[in-house]
Amino acid sequence: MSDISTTRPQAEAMISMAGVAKWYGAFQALHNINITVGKGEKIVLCGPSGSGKSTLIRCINHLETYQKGEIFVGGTRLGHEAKSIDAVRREVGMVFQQFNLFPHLTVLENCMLAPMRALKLSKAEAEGRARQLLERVKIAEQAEKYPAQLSGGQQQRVAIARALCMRPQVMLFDEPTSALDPEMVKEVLDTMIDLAREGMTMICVTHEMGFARQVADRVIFMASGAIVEEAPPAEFFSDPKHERTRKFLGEILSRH
Amino acid sequence: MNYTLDFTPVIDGMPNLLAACLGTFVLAISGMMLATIIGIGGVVLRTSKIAPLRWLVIGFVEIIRNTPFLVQIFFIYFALPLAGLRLDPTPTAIIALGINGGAYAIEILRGGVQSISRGQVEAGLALGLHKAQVFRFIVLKPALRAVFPSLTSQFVLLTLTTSIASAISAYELTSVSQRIESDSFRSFEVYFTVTAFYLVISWLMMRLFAFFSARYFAYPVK
Repeated sequence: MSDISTTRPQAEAMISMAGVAKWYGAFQALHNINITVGKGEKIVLCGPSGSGKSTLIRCINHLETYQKGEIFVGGTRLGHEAKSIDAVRREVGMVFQQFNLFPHLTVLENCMLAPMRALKLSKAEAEGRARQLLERVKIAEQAEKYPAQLSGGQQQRVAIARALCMRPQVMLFDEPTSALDPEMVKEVLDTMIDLAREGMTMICVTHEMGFARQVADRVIFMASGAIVEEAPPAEFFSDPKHERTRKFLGEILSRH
Repeated sequence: MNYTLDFTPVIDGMPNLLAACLGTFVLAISGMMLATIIGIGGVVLRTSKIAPLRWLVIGFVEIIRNTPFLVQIFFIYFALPLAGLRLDPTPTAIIALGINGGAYAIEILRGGVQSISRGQVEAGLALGLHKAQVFRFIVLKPALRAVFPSLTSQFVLLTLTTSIASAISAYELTSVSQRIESDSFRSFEVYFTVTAFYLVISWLMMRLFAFFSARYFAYPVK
């Protein structure tokens, strides 16, 4: 078990993927993915590049379509029709490698847009919520600035706040620190650790193994579009079962 | 050469010429607004999932861009009345300018929309916004900013194209000056003055666009 997770994973499944498979033309990107994530559980997803980790989490909010299997998020079945996609997207926040803040909107406006347009909150409500969450990611004093005026680490924290403004039940992180200069990685990871501590259900694609050790309830290792191994971090790092996992860990840990 | 310059007819006609400049402005600004609406609407349809809508826009753009503006304006003014649609010269000119400018605006804006990274759209969708909301609140402004210099020169061109509306006697600078010229035979003086007026009008348009750009696109980018 992770050392800081205060909420124990509950039996109630927040996300479940059953037999999910995806093809790009003839190339199969995902093979028979079965994952269940309990409420409050933190999952770290790792693996070599091209192993399908990003594709997998992007299926959860339907940024990628899949051809086989079923995905449930918070009890809602994610179909391919707009209604269920909308319902799921409102419950699932996502943070991207490239931040993807909207350059023409201030930090505050970035955070207010979706609550106002997708949740139909009033301007005052959306602003109150945005300021509160910007406070939480410790960037409230930058609210009136534009994204281009912030450092990468600050931008990524804004992106986290922006996603949280929708009050999602699940947060997906797609290599959130990979595009950052090394000195900014910590501020983003600290924000994610805080979020984990507050009991958010999280799936993180990351190569930050320190984060995985500290936060994850389970580490899932993928290769060639399939799940190879899945274990609590202590076991995953000390006693990997598969050859591919050992090779991957050898490569990634020798880098640090 | 024993030609003596005589600006008297131009000076006498000055109130008319200045009013005609205003007429040119009205044609140009109304034409631009219509062109902008057609341009944005056209881009939305051009990127639609429904193939016939895309073909419709492609066909429209090709027809307009590959036929002379004079013929287009004649078509609306002389041919459409036979189909029961009779318009005065000024509305005809505005519609023709809007349609013509709109076809070019579609192509320019399409480039702008394509310059927006996929990540911007995905971030909007992941936040639960619909496709139309993503276009309106996330894509449109940066796309406009990206192509604003091209759009400015296209719209200055549209401003100058208003002179072709003199062929159907719309109220604008060229047709009023033609009248002064044919009454006075002072061709040099009249067209010299008109040339200077067009230069000023174009310059004013560019200032207007620069002003708009400075206000509307004032956000910093890396």
